[in-house]
Amino acid sequence: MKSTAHLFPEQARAALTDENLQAALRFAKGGFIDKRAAAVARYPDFETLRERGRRIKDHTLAHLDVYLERFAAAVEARGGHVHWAPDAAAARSILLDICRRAGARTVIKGKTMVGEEIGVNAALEEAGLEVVETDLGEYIIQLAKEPPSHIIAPAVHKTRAQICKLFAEHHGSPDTLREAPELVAEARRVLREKFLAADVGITGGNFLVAETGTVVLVTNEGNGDLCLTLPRVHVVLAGIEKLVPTLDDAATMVRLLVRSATGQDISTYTTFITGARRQDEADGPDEYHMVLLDNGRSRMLGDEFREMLRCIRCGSCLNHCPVYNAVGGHAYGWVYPGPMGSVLTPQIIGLDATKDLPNACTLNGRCQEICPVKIPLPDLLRRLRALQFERGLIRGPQCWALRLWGWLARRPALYHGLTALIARLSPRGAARRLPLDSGWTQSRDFPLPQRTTFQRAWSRQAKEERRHD
Amino acid sequence: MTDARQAILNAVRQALGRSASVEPAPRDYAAQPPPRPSWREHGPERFTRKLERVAGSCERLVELAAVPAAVLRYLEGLGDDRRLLVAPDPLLQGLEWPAALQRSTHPQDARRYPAAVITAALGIAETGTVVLPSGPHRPPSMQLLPDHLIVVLRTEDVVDYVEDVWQRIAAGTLPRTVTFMTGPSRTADIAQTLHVGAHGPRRLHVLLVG
Repeated sequence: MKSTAHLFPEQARAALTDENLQAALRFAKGGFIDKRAAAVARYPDFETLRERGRRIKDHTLAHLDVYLERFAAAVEARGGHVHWAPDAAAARSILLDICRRAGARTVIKGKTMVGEEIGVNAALEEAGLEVVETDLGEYIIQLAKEPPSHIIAPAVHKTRAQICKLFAEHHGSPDTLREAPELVAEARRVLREKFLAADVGITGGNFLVAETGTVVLVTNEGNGDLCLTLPRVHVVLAGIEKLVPTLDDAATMVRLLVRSATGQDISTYTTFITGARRQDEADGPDEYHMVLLDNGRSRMLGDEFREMLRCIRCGSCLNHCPVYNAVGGHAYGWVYPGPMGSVLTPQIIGLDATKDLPNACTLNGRCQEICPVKIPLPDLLRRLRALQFERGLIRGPQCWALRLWGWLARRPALYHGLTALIARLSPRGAARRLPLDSGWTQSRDFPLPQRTTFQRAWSRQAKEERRHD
Repeated sequence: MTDARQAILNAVRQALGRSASVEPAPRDYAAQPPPRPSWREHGPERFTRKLERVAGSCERLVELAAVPAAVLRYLEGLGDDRRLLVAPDPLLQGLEWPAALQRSTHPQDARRYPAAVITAALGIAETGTVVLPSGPHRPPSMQLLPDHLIVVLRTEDVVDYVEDVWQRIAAGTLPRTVTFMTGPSRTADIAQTLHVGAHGPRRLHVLLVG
């Protein structure tokens, strides 16, 4: 997928005035948050569960080489083929090769964010294959020719009216506002034919279990299971950070994932795939492939962004982010939106092309509070801001202002004196417009200092209290 | 392919600051049991309650011999169609089925038949889940394609927690797939409201025996 992350400010501005998007966001807002909160409230030990999840992932990442080797060996011992893809281009060519060898014409897909990351649909379509998304949300945005706007609810930005229109256009069904159950039934009918005719099924994997070579796939619709049951070939696409040591560890991770993502106790289908079809099985694919993608992950393992590799893609940080809830996912311009995306996207496609993402954050800290694996997202975003400054990606008045502030902040006496002076001289109230930063005041007023500085007010209060004692 | 494998493993080792693989330290967190929900009711009761909460249905039967009649009653509740897939499982094949039913054991019929009956290897009380390992007795297409899925589960096969499943299905004997199924297929992809019957069975009915 081509990134438009460098256009974040323009895209965010457009999103704020997009009536359909704002209606869809208003509709979704709160639903995710309430469902998660209710699920957590039902689980007295959720904090201990989060801590265990963090430790499982940290342990696995610290021994990732060994767990990857064990996983691959176990998959191969059970008749699967393991492919290693250092980057997106390698992953695409592996997939193309698998499809060509199988003489495939149609490919069906379960929802895979790694698939979006490597741009699998475009690559396969260019080679003349028909690619059909089968997750209902992914199917809707495929019809609309749009990227997903949420990592677990790809079509969250679409209203029911828009979906009706898309279905009428592509299925020849009546062009009226119809109820959701009718739409679900229609998609089931149309996609059932695709399932039965497809040659290759591609799915993601939520967790990879090293001890047994098992892929854990978490879905609610059942489309993932059909993708890995009906076609002749099944391919799993997953990042190398998805490993966990044991099946018991996977149980803990699934408990965290479903509660954080949808507020469920377990997803409708949680499927454990271990190797290729056995000789005595009446159905299932003839070939089973596992594609392991690096694409920047091994680099993150060695730098200050390792903690981001704990991410289990639950989408909870998106749901709790005020910026995401205001502008939606498309404004972020690439596959992963919201707080997790603002950390991950610069790692994968570079900081130069994503310089606004780390700044699309109010540092309110809610994402860190709810993250099921305790990723310190605000800290990582702050580190990215510092990196931008160090690499000279911040230019012009903003750069000089930061330099000046930095110079002053390292001279406390001068800093206190100067700020006290400004506080005394400045008018009271709020400024409608800042002379050097008019963008900041476009949608809000800038509060002006109150006559004195915080430190002076603090010491005066401390003195008063001593007098009263 | 081998080069790519080596390149990724080398990059990972370099990031971890070593040149060869080192045996992982013990999983220190595993000394403690995982935090899990607890309950007072019996396993089968909790199983039923959790399953019904996610729009599944459950019927208690005293013995296996009562299964065919219960299945017929279920089909009668749907209409006149008497076509039924019966999984090629000796447990089901050994039952006496009413002549009124038009039965098939062939996975190919899964795309046409409205209903299927299969057995669950285990049930999980924690979540109201039926555990369906693939194999000659349980072709996965039978549990996915028909609109109505009837699952026979024996009460003695209801375990408490997800982890208990792996005590009963040992790592060395894992089949190609083990599906944990909890309620009918569902989606919230249209305007974030929940609807059943996305791609898998529209209804999941469990016959809990014993």
